[in-house]
Amino acid sequence: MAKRILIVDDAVFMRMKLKDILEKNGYEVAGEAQNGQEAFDKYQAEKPDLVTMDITMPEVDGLQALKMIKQADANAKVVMCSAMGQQGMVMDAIKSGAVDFIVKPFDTERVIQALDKALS
Amino acid sequence: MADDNSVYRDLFFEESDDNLQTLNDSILELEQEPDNIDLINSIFRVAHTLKGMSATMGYDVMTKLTHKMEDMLDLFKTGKMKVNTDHISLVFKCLDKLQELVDDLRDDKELEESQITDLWNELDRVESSAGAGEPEAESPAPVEKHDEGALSTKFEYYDDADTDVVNGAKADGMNVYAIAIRLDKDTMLKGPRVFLITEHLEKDGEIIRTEPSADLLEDGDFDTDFRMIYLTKDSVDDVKHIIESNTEIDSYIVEEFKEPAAEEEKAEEKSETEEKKAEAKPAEEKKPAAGKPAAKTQATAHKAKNQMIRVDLTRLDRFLNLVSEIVVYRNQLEDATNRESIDEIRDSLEQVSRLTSELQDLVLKIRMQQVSVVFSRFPRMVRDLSNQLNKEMKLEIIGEETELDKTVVSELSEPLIHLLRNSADHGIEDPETRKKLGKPEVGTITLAAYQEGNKVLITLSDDGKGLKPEIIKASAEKKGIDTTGMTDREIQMLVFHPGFSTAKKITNISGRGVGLDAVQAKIAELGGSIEMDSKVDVGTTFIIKLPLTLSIIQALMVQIGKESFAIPLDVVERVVMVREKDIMQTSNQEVCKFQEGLIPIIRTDKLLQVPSSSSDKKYAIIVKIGKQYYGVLVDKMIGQQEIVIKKIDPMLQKIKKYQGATILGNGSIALILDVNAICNSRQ
Repeated sequence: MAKRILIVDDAVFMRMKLKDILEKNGYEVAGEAQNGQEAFDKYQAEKPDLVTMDITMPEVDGLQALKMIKQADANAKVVMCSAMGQQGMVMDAIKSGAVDFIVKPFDTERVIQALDKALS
Repeated sequence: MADDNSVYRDLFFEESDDNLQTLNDSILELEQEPDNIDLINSIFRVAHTLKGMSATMGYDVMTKLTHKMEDMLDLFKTGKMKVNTDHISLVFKCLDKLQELVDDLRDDKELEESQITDLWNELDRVESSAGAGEPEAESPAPVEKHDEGALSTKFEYYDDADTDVVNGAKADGMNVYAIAIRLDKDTMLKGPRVFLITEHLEKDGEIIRTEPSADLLEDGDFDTDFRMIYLTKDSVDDVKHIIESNTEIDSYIVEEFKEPAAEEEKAEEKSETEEKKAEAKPAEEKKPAAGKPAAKTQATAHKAKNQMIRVDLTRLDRFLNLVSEIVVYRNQLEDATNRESIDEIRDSLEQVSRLTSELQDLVLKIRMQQVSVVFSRFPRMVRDLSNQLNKEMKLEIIGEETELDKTVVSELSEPLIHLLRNSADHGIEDPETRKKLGKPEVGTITLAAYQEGNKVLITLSDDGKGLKPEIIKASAEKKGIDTTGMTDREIQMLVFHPGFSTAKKITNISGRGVGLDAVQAKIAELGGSIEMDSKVDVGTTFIIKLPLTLSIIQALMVQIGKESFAIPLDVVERVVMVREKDIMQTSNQEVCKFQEGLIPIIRTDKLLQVPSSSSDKKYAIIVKIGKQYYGVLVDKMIGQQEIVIKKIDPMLQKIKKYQGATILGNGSIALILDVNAICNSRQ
């Protein structure tokens, strides 16, 4: 069965891009969220196998959302999406339990490799 | 293979426009509250999103500029640089440039590095003067050494302290491994990557030493290789397993740790170790993903500009509901028709007609867009104007959530910009003058929108000096316009006269050339009208009335000869019956009596080359275009009807007699007369 992924990013454009990569590589997109709060709510509702989490988002950012999700489900698998220049944030995310991170601009192979490994 | 991003282009443009607008708004706010850290953070976030998006699309030049701008914003964020007006203006320049780049990309133009050079240098100057000028810059071209050749576990430094720890661990039954890892050549964010790997390893053991040092690793300050000494109870295979669970590793070695002295003997043991290429794909193959944009190939597919509109999902849901209801009644109709039950057919038809009118309403609503789309760029404009003109003014916006048909909204910005500039330039006085007049030093321009019936009213008022009749009169006379016998108000209205400009000095703000007549023409084109009210030293107000939508209008259906035509009802003043004998010939045109005067008659049969009926009795549709009445002659009146405007072939549009066409109830087609154009061509 295809693994179900929750995509979290505040830019529709980024979500579409990622969705496309995932669907072309045999993943199922369980849902999309555009901020951390929505991500948390959708996580609870959908129980996806994995979350791709953007870091910079309005209101509740990716780091906070990661913590909320991890607190609710210690086994949650969250892969952070970051851009260049966010070393500190990524470090914090790893400390808070993110399984991996992918860097924008997304490279299809890397995204899939990260997800495959995180889910194996 | 590079991902084909072309399908995301439209979305990219739309979101970029949004993001740039948000930035414009926020920067404007920042100028007022330079210490608002939340605001700075949110600005940073949006700029960051923009960078990520352009990088994903492979628009390198745009990415470069966004990156540089982000560096500057970061200085605000970290407090290394204080926000001042110059900085704000510089950020605005960036935003303008970015908008330009986005527009170029939309037009399928290839971006040139030279487009951003000046701005980039300026940013660089400001940034380095803030003392944060790490020459990190655009191309982080690392001049440092490259890790080439075979990956090795050979440590460059080693001291006795390590030996003690290693020996102690061995005594405790721990395994001591030397691990060397080479990251993928183009790994980004190396610091966190290493951190993630070491985190995984440290769950099962302890890393006692790394090369380069932990600090350098954490900062990502190394090329691709790093080494560590790892103490664990795990077997070699377990350790390999942990390492393999990480991504972006090119190759690695795990072997029994040997003290440097024993190092030389290591060679023959090499067979034991394993150098595994992680899912080896040649690095070159991965590279182009974010490389050159596929712009060239997209060019052909995207010549035609697609207009996009965002729709509230609930409206679309309702749409679907209505359509499915219609399907239900269609089935009922079919069924009832088969059984030839007139009553049932009538019932179902009633439902269908209710549903279609609801659908019609809804589709109109879906086409609606808030005027804020246009209004939102004005605060920034007024800020710039106020700087350029050395006047203090503020813009108040009311009712920006008012909705209008998208086509109208997108055409609105040009005339409004013109009016705004006029107000700022000619309306608002300089602070000293205002003070003398007892007015607040800061001038106010108010832009308001609200709906009234099936019209939307947009008013733009300023509390400036108003239109002084004497000045206008003098200026008009200089231009050869006869003003004798005109009331003050009539004189004020002369500003709408073609080629009229009241500015004593010609500035580059409201300029010359296009005058208010152009604004009036544009508004008329949109099916609206513009009025003006001006009081000396109190201010000027423009009132623009616009139809809610352009696609469905009330029309007067008429017949000329055997053909049906539609005349938009909003220009129709009244209809009178005329006979041939009522029509008089003056020196250059035919006229007939209307109210107290004579008005020109337009013979549609001649104009449109349609054979007219021979009947002596005709109808004159009295229309008001500007301030002039005309009588448009037709043979028969059919009645008032709501019609849907369909576009006609551009060739037909060129003859400037028809606005479009509509389909009548009986399936035939009627052309819609462009009364504006017809009457104006008479002048």
